[in-house]
Amino acid sequence: MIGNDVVDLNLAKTQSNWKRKGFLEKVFTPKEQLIINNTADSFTTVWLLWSMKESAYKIYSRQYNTRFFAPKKFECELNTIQNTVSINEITYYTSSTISRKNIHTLATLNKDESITTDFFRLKNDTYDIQHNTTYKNLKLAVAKQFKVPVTKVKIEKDNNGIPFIKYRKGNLNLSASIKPGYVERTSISISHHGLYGAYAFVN
Amino acid sequence: MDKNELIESLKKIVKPYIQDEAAFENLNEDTDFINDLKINSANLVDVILDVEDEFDIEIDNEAMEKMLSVKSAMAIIETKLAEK
Repeated sequence: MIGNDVVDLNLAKTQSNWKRKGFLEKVFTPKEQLIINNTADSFTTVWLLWSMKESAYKIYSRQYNTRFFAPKKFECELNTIQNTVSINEITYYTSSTISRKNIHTLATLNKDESITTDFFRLKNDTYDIQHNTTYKNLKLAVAKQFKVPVTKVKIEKDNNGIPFIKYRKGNLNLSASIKPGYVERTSISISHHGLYGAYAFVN
Repeated sequence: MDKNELIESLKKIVKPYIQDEAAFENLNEDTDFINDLKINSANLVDVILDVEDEFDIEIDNEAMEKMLSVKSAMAIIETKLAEK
């Protein structure tokens, strides 16, 4: 299972004020606050940890079919080899790409999952462009990976607002044991923020 | 404070963070902050801090977990106000 999260750092500067009274205390554990306060670039660290928590939450909420808002329950560990996020004895592995402009984090439940992922810049930051471009790119990638026509790929949301992919396998193998019709894949993740979008799915 | 007043003050609080105008115009008890109003999850922290300031209450971790919709926010505010 996977989860991803994108942060447009330029937008984060104006959209959120992490220095606001109470913000750090609501989101980060004392240990994480220490990391944030002891680094030269607190701003980037805030959003790196945030994106790690978000990505891990996306997996956890799918795993346990639940929804809640408790960023502090997800404890981040920064290590040179492997960053992790833990909640209730469960540890997720995260990897992040950080530039001056953005952060993209990918969290996985298992260390060696085979994943297709892409991160891209959007034409503008309107919600429709963010949403439509990210969905379009994901559909194209799914079509390519699973060798189905892109018109047969659908992205839907479950009752918790969590997206999953559905695609129709062609009318091949009608006699085979595999039932024709829709194949559902739930290990996908979509994220967009500001001028950036990203998707990831388990192959 | 009656329900309508409470919804109105919540509406004022979430306004700066919403990304879906239509859902905002139709805001009601069943409106979801993230799925309907498309509030960025980092801004949900701001909504919570604004609610604390506006009503002079403290939203603890347990209450914060449920702050995903207008209905649950209203219930939390009512409970915390009653505790005062």
